[in-house]
Amino acid sequence: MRVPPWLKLVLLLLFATTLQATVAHRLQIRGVQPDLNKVVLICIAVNTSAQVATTYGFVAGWLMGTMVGMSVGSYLISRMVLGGALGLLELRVFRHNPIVLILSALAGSMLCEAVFFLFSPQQNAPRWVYQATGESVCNLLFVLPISAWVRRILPPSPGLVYAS
Amino acid sequence: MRNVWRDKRFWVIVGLALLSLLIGIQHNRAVQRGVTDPFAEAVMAVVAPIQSALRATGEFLSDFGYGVVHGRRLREENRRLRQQLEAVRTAQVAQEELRQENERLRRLLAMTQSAKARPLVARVLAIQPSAYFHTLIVSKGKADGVRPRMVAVTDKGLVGVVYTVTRHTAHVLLLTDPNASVGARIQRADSRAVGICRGRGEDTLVLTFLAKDADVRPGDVVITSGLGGVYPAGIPIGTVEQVLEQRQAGMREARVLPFVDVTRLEEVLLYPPEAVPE
Repeated sequence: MRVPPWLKLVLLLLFATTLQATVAHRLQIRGVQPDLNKVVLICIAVNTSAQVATTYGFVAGWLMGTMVGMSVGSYLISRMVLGGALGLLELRVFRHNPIVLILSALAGSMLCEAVFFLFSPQQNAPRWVYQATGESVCNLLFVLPISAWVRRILPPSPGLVYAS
Repeated sequence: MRNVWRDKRFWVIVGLALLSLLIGIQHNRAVQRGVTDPFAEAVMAVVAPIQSALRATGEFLSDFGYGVVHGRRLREENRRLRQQLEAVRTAQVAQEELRQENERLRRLLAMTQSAKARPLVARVLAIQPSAYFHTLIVSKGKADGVRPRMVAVTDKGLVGVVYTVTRHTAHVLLLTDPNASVGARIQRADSRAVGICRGRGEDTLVLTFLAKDADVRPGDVVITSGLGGVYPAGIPIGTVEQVLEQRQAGMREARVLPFVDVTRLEEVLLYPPEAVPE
């Protein structure tokens, strides 16, 4: 049986979220840890359209919100905004360029954190800035390999077809 | 310019935004009422078994790796432990006699523990998925008798409080979470100063609202005061690491290192608040 790409991506998100809840705290350095759920979403978003990425943002936000058990709405909205914003880059920049990918991931992570902060203000704002920045940088370590994996799952984008 | 109202993609995004709002509101209402959120229930039903398997695999790999690295030392330790086990077995027989005698005496003095509810032992499935919220997911839920506001403890001390429950899992808000606070007291007999212990989103807690002249010293043991109604009195919290002078007008603060290291938690005991042993 052939598994459709969208289901593979949902399973990848599910796996990343589960890993986030079981392993990520072991990777913590000075109170900062990567957010694997967000990394996978970023990799999906930079390789798909705004609409598709928003939908995956919804799935990612729901999974993460449920896992944390708090601020579910804020996780949903912030992940959807992240997906939509990075999805808008479709055909505007060459997203397979690693530098573009890294810059998109950094900007996307920070945007997602800012939206989350708007909907769920944290008591300790300086600590939030520290954690948001640290997490965004940590996420970069995982973006390139996971993006390569996501590209193997997704069908070739129009940009690549034109390029070839 | 294209008419956005006719764009199907626009309506998909609007639909998802509305659905997000609905899920968010539903979740908050469920938490406030202390009931199960059906959306969360559905997700946890899928995720919990995977988490359990992943955690078991992680522990196996960790043990295996430890065995490979420390093989020789483990063999030596094993031999030594076998010798100790023989000695312990002999002592156990004598101890069993003492235990039975103790039990009889307890019965005579009517010091039974039956008045207190038995705790639920729950395995930790997930730890702190987000850096902002310090939470645990444990393997017991509504079906096992867990309900919101149950207190999570270990043999070392207080872990936190249950705040949401699904059928087979529960979320525990850790003491270190910025949203967590507990009435606290210095255990030392000549101090007994009271304050509020709050999470900071870090490894340590802060003991605030201490009186200006409160007698607090580094090394003091902090326990729950029972004030506030959620946590019973007398549960160990941690030790005072540092006393901070005059942070707020007329008050002192202290930094507290919790007894429980949440990153190493494997099981917790869940008690109804009225049944925690002091």
